[in-house]
Amino acid sequence: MSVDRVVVTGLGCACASGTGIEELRGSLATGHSGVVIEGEDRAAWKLGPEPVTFGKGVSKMALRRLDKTMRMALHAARQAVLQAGLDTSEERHRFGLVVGTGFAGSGTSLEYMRTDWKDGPSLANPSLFPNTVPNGPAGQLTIQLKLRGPLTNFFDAGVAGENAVAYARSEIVAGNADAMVVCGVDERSEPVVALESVYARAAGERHPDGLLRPFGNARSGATFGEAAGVLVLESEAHARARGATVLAECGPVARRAEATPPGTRSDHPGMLAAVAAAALLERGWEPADLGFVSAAACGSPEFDRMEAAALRAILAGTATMVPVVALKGYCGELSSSGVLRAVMAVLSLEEGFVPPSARVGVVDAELGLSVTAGDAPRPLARGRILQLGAGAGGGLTALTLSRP
Amino acid sequence: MKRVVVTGLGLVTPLGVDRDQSFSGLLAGEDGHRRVTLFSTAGYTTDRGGEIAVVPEPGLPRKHLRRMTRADRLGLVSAEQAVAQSGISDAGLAPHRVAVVMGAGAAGLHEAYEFFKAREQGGRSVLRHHFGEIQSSTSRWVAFRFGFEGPRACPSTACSSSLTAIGLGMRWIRSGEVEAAVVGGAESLSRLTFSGFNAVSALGPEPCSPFARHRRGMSLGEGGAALVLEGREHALARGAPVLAEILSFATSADAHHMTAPHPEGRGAAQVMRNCLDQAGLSPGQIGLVGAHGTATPANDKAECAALREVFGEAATGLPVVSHKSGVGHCLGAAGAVETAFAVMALGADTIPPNLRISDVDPECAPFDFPAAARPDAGLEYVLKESFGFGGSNAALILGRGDRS
Repeated sequence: MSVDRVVVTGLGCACASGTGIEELRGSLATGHSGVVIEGEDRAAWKLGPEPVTFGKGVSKMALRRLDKTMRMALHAARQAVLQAGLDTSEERHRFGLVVGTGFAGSGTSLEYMRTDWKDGPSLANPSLFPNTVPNGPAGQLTIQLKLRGPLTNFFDAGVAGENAVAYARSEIVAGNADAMVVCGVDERSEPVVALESVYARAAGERHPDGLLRPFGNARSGATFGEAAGVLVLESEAHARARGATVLAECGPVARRAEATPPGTRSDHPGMLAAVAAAALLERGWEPADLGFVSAAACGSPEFDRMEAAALRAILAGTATMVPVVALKGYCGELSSSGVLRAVMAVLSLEEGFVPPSARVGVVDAELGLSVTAGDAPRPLARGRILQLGAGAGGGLTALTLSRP
Repeated sequence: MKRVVVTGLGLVTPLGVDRDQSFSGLLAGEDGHRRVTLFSTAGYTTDRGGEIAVVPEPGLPRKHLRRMTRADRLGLVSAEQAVAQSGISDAGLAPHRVAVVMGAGAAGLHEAYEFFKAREQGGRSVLRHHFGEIQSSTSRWVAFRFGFEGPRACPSTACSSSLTAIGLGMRWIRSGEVEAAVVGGAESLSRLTFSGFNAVSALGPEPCSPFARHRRGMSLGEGGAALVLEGREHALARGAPVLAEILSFATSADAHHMTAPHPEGRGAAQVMRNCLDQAGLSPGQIGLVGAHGTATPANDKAECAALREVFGEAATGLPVVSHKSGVGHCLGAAGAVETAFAVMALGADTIPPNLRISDVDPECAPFDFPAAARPDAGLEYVLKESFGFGGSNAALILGRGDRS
């Protein structure tokens, strides 16, 4: 069996701008970012309500074994599976799962290591160890949602979410699964907070207030957030046959990666432009067909400039016409942002709007792009979205989402 | 369907610093376990592990070497061997037509443990390594070393990570996304994993004895393994060595428990069956199973139950080997190390031995666990499988390189 079209039938989220899809939809409609900055304490970039409240439907016995990423992921995945109407009450080997993450397990790993060096090997806490692996959320989601189909987990700085989407599509297209739950999840754990300032210094970025201003003229660096985003992807035939509501079509992921050593920032607008062109070609779209571009912009002065150069090259004559949206202001920088941003893109298609970029401040006019800002969305002229992905790991991706 | 072959192999294991040394050690029944010196093992169940005495230096300048983790070095050195054998870097391919997929489980956590411990205890804590890319840095070093700009990913599904990496590379070539891929994985011994497996009582007191009646748990190892994969037509056209063919790959979820396998090996049986179906093979055509075989009582029992279910009558006398008896459990690198051994076994038409297998567990019947190398085995197809924490199962089938 081979499948041509892969569609989105369910959405879920847990992020600072929405612990449910309707809340996130409202945030996008008003340009309201729930990301909180409290003085110097960048840890306040954390999700508002503590994820301990995310345990609906999970027994207390099971819940106490779930760490923060697992709880966020489960909270978001339940919403998506419910919306898609996937019946996972019976164990289903045709329904699979893939997770993308940059930091899952990092908080628990440090907690575990600390018990080892403080208390010694005989007192190291065995209940923490299973949650130290980056595929902890993946394992827990399959258990809690009874998904027995294809399963994997990606750990890629910056593009883990896009790699997860690509994997899910490949399993569906190959006929190995009817539906795949695709989850992107990251936590702002103690190690992440500890390393963030070290990296900013290494990159020569002074980022005193921790504010993330993608494409803003006062941008001074990226700040990691924590969030989960979930898509249910499905073959169109399977979705139609069971009468599911098709929310969007998801195109193939185009991707390349810079051959640079770890620790170096992306500096290849030509490569990003080539990736974007490849994604458009897959769908037979012209740049002028786009309703908007969802940018990877993270507030890093150099990275955003690089991405803007790539976008100017892609959009050529349309540069001042096609709106560019930077969505990371709603959730912070995430290795897995590709999934959550795709959720936001599908919501935008549903609403027929181009959402404002949040927390941009004043748009950097030198970038030569039509970056959205403010508190009101623009009408969506065309139901086609190009989403770029990039991050610290050197990966560059582009995927397309469109009205069904 | 496009056929995908292996044209290069690289290995660094406790048995040797390259593929030939490692494989001849394996055939001779050498044991790579020794006293672990990388960190203190005081207080743990065992002081034995598959430690690599001297990690070879990759061919990069010192300024880069000092930023690499032990796992990065193991992965890069094995990739250098594989690329040299295949000649893929001189094959005239555009840089973006070569992907890099190196899987990892806990790679880099050896260095992370020391960093965070020193930081917390007020010691000298220099951030030399790229913890933000901690598992995915090996892929990136490989791409940097050879200038490969194709897509990159780091599957991280604990002990099935690098088998998944191989499968992904195969699929990306099959779909036409790339023409070639360097795939594999790397893992170093670390305090975190040593302590963790000790804490969950999975670590045995002696080097492990997979499938033996008196097996008492796993032993840990480390290593790097890389394979160069490419389209068969491409390989033949340029006269590259064709070492083996990868016929199929599948993943599945147990959806059962974070650390324990499903008692009947439900998910394990599913991946094996999917691999056979995809390859169009019957169980009787498989000449050797490269087992996961961790030597924990639960794994070996469940794995054999799955094999019995899938192989039926063909299970009687089917040769099964676990290389973990010789090199220890290399976690994220295990799948790639063991697949590299399987490719060499096919090439030499020789089944490598299991160590310490004189007394087979009756629950592991009715398979044949060779205790000595078996030449002229008439091998055509090998099934290789890996199972990870979180119920993350993966398997692939290899065929001889000279199949027409």
